[in-house]
Amino acid sequence: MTAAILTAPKRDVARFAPAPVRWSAHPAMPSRPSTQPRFLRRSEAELYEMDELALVEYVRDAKAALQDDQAKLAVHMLLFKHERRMRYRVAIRTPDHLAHHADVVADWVLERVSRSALKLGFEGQSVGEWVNWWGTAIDRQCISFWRTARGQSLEHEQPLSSEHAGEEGAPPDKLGVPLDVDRLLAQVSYSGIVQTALAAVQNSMHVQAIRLAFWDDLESAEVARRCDTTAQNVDQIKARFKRTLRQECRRRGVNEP
Amino acid sequence: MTDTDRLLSEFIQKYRGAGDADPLPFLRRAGDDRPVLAALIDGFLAAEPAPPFDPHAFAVFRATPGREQLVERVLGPEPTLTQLRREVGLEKAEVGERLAERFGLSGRSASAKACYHEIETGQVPPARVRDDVWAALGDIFGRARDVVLDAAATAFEGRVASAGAFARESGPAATAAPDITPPQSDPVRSAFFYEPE
Repeated sequence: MTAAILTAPKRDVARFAPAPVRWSAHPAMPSRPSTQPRFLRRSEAELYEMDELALVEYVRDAKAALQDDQAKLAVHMLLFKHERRMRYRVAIRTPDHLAHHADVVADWVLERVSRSALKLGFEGQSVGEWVNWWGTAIDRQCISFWRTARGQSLEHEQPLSSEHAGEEGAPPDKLGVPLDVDRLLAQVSYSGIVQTALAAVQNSMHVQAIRLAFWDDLESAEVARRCDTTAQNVDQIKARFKRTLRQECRRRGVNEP
Repeated sequence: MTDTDRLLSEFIQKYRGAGDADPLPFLRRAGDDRPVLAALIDGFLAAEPAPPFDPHAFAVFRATPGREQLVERVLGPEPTLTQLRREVGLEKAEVGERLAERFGLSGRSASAKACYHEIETGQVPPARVRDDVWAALGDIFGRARDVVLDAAATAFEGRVASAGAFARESGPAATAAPDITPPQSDPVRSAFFYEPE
């Protein structure tokens, strides 16, 4: 409530006179409210239904809330959802003459890709971008594996020198021999090849047709129905995409039968 | 339907029917088109959603020997190159001097230091660093080269994440090195790094 107060004849000055303050008992202040949202524990089934971005966020939130058992549970779930497929993807990238070592490579790659996944920031990202990232991470870690002492030991099919140091007849350390990086690089870039080939497809309907035909395993007639085109066109789109894949494989030197 | 299409379809049907299928026997039947089939199978495995949740299968999975230790390693802290360097009490300049000496780059220790700085701060994907560099750093820090490589990867992945480069990382050029370094005409850079694609 204000009151205009005339103070001097020459100048009218309006002053705000504060209203009388009434004090009354208030309820006691609660303890300082937490600025952190409360962590909600999820069941195994709920975690399984989460997409990968949400699952990784859950791990981060669990760690921040000091709920280590939940963080571990979520990492177990992430591995459970992806490990089998990741092992196959690593096997595809392992040269045939080293296929019997695919599990060793996969163990190494799986740990590092999973660790990297937990460090990503996911603000505004889509599951599709996750799929691309996951594939690139596998490509990259497979390359890195073959540069490790373990990888070079396998590649040369020699026992790792450090594992037998001091033993009679222990093998000499020959790991200074340069690795044929280009050859191995070519073997592992399948994610990059597919992403490059898809990026070259300008027409979004064609991209959809490619996904439905190849990865949903639908007949051309069904793809044509869903994409509002003809089966003949779908066959041409498929043939063109495979040609692009072939060219990209050749460009990267992936030509090992 | 081509042979490649047929093999892909067989693989997908077996995978979906059994919940699992090894791609290698299909690849071995692909002949000259094996790389194309490999790319298509990889694309399928990348995007295929997981089957319905099986609590018993999950319990068995968790109980597999070594699984718990793997999860702890995934969640656990890992050293960075900076930490490894500080553990042995070296400055970057000193690391640069030792690397220059190792690679016969006398008088170029400043450039060698700059290259090392890029590795330590995650500016270069580990895949681009020459194997000799990992061996040399392993000797300098007194650690296995794999530990050094992992530490460098930690810095690189962290830099990618914090720069919001998720989309860049997943683009077609992601398996190539990011184009942030000058051309490879520099003998010091050539000693440290493979050419970017």
